[in-house]
Amino acid sequence: MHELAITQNIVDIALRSAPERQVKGITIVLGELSGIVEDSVRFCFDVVAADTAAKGAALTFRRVPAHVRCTKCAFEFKLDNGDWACPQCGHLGGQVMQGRECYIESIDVED
Amino acid sequence: MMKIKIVKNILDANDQMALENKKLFDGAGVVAINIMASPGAGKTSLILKTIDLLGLPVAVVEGDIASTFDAEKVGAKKVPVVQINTGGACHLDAAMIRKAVKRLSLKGARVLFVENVGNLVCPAEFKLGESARVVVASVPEGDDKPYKYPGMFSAATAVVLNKMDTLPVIDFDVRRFKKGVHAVNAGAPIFEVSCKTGQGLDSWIEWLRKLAS
Repeated sequence: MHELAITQNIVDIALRSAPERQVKGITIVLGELSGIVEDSVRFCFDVVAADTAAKGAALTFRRVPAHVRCTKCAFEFKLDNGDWACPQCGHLGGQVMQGRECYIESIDVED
Repeated sequence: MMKIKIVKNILDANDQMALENKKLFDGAGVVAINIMASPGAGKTSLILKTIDLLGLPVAVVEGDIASTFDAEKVGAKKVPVVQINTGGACHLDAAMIRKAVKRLSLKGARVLFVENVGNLVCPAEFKLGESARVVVASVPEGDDKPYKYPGMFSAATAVVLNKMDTLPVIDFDVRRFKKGVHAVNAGAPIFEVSCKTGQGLDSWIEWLRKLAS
C-alpha cells in the first residue's frame, strides 16, 4: 500500500530533474530489505504518471542483495532466504552492510 | 536519448520533512517517540499506562485510518492529544506529523508519543522526526514476528513485548522471540511487560526517563 506514496515520490523526482522534457525511462535501485515491491510500483506508476511528462516511461529496477556482517566473527555474507545465521560461525545476527537502498539512479530523457 | 544521473533517495522529501520536525521538537525540548506495532498489540494501552507512570508532561499524536477512539481514551487523561485519520493510508508520514503538531500544544511537554497506524510493514519506511522508534509486539501474535518482519524490527530503537500475562495459556517461546529481534537488531533492548497487570513496566519507564533527560 505504501508503494503509492513511494511511486508519487519517484515521479516527482523524475519530473523535477528534467523540467519540460519527456521522461522515457527511470532506473530505480532497490535493496532486498527496502520493503518495496516492484510490481506494486509498476502498477501505481501508470496511475501516478498519467497526464505528466513521465507517462509511459520504462521502469528499470536494479535489485541489490542484502549483505550482513556477523556481529560475532565479522564474516560478511549474503542473506539467503531471510536466514540471518552466519555461515562461518553459526551466530544469529548481524549488521546490514547493504540491501536497504531505495533511490533513483538515473533517468532517460528525450534529447 | 540522454541519460541523466540523479542518485536521489526516493524518500528524500519525507526525510527532509522529518529533519525539520526533529528540529522543531528539539527546539521545544520535546523527545518524540514513534510507536509502531500491528493492530491490537497494545500501542494505546502502553501509552495510557506510560502516561500514568512516567511522571513527565506528555503530548500524544494518534494515527489511525479512521475513528477517534484512541484520542478520546488519551484525552480522558487530560493530556494534549490530536488524532490523525489517514483515510486509508497505511502509515504516518512526516508531513502528517507536521500538520498535526500545529494543532497541538507542545508547550511544557517533554515527551511526544506518536502512535502510528497498526501495521508491521509500511511505517518502518517513513521517518517522522522521532528520537526513538519503539516496536510493540504481543505474546498472542506469536514468537515468529521478528523473523517475518525484519524491516520493522531492525529499525527499532527498543522493543516492547506486551501481554506477558497471557504466557501461561499461549505457546510462545520468549527466547525464540528475543533471538529473532537480536538477529536483525543486536543492540535493541527488549522490555517484557503486561499493560494489564503492570508487570515489567518499571524498566520501560526508566529507559524512557533516561531518553527524555
